[in-house]
Amino acid sequence: MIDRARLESDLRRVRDGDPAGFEAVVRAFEWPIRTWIVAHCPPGGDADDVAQRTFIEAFKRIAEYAAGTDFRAWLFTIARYQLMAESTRLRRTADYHRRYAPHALAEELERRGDAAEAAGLSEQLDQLRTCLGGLNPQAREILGQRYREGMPLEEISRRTGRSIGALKKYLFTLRSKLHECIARKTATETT
Amino acid sequence: MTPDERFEDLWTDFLEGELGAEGLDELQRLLASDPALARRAADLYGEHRLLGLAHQSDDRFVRETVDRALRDREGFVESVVRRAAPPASRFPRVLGYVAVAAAAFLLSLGLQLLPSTPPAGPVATLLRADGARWDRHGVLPEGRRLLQGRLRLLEGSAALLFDSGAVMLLTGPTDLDLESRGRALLRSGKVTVEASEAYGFTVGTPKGDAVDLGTEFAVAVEAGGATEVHVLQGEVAWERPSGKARVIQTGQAVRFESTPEGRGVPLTGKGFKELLQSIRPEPRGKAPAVYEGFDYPAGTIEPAQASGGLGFKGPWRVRTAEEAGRDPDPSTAMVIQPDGLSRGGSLQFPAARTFRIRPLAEPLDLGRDDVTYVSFFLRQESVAPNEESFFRLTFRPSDNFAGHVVGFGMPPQRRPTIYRNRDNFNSSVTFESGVVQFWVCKIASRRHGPDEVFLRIFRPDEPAGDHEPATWTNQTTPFESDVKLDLLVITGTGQGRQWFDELRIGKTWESVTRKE
Repeated sequence: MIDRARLESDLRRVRDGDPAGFEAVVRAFEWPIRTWIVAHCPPGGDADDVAQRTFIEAFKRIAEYAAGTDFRAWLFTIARYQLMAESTRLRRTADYHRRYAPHALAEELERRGDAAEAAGLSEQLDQLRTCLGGLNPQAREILGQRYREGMPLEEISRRTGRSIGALKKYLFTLRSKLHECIARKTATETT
Repeated sequence: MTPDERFEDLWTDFLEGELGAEGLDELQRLLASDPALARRAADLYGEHRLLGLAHQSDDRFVRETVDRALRDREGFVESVVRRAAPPASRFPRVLGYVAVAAAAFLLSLGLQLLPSTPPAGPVATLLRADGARWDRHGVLPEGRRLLQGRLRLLEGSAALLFDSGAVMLLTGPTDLDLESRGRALLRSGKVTVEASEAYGFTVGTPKGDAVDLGTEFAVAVEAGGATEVHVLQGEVAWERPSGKARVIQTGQAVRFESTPEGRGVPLTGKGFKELLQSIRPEPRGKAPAVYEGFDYPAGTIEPAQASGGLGFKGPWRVRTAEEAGRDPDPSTAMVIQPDGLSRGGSLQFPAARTFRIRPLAEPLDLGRDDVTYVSFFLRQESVAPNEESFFRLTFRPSDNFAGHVVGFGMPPQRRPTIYRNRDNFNSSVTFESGVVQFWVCKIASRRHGPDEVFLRIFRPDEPAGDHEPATWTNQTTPFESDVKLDLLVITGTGQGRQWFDELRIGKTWESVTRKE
């Protein structure tokens, strides 16, 4: 939970040009903004870059924020605009859909562009972390190689002794397991 | 193999970036035919990205964001100063302070009233205009980016290219709302639309929506609201807020006035091509304002001897000691190859790091409402993968050489990049070396509002077309700047040789793409 008085104090520091105030604001909203952008950024887009642009734009326009109003909503408006700009840029790139994103997937992702679900996404990230903890160590290691270290499949295949085909199947199974685990947790928490 | 198994294969390859064009087409068909599967794919895609986030626990994001913001602080300070203090003001200092305080107060008041309205973004481009006079804007230049909002053509005719790829022809008087890249609301007047590349493009009217199903169609709205839809080719879905949608076929024309069903009327719309050809571009700027064909004696010459061409304030030069800093050029001469990439000679970059600079007679002024097109030919020698060349063409201000830049480049990984100060915009498309490429760049600037920069690279077998494209190889996100860029800088780095030729800078697409 974000402490409102603390936030207003940090925002005053940002207005006064104090980088430490800006850092505190980024820390407070890093995960809600990043999870929301990651969930809605079209394939081929750089979600972290869009998130950084969101904070930087907020930093530049901090004089426009009316103290005491809903900073979170103001920040998400900027995030939504940055995401729209990134989507427009990608869409106008030659061959975008043929290279990166089937239309049907891009449209479905676009339909979900509602900042109100940001809180749900943060919970989903927490649930995902818990679900990851429930996997066996070997599965966690392979996912770590794939997602933390960005290793190509060939390299993971060499290290684990699994064929690339088997590795792809294993990754699909792991992702499906995580999907089911999150769905179970969501169902438990809402009943 | 069951559809589920096939989806599993395609989806895994998609997430691993190994799915080719055919696979993507197949995945698209699967998702389009099954909305539940599309929803599941979106869930899986979101979770795939969350997995990336879940594996990041360090401080990297916060540190990088703060560093980037501090690097950008100069732009922040500039923007505050620009907003608060009118540049032309020569008031006495005290009056100046009052004006600044008043401006700041009005600004904060306005922003408090509209705290969360995102600024209108560009959604279309003015392709052509013939005798066009616009309400509020007067005359608009070809290539002008058009923001969301009201657009009234008082007289003349014009062609708009929406970012979705739909082209709309207007004849004045026409009153239109540009709502998005894929939708416009026609309040009154007549438009003709060609939307074969923009399936689903919609023209809203007071009586209903005409939704393109891959076609050419005309829509007219009369002052009293009566609306006619004429389908010239393909099909149009006619949708009303209440009631079923109906499809209007090729050759049909329907008038909607007193009854929601409408009644058939004779088809009178002219064909799209005929109409487009009748819109003659304004006479402005058919010839480039800046031209350099490297028509110099073959061999090695000193930059000061290279003073030909058009639109420059002086000859070519190397960087000054101040501009170069601790990175002086290893060579100072210019090598002219007699058989150029187009005609005359061409400039050859040696296999090293070189900068060649030429001052422009007229700077590119990003603080003005303007559109500038730049084109040139480039060939880069094919070399070993780790020795690929790096080419850049940038525009910089002479009074702050390192501080501001707008430019275009081909880095060694062969994904063309647009540079805007410290931001790099990388293309998703790679280009092979060894062939002559034709680069066309567009810089769309605004006095008030967002600027944008675009790049399209044409391969040898691709025609540039007679108007700018809807899709670009690369483009920036909108940004704000009012810097004046008066230096043209071309940079070659790497082990491979590079040839640069036929630089043109002009105000229209035609002026930089027309074959002589």
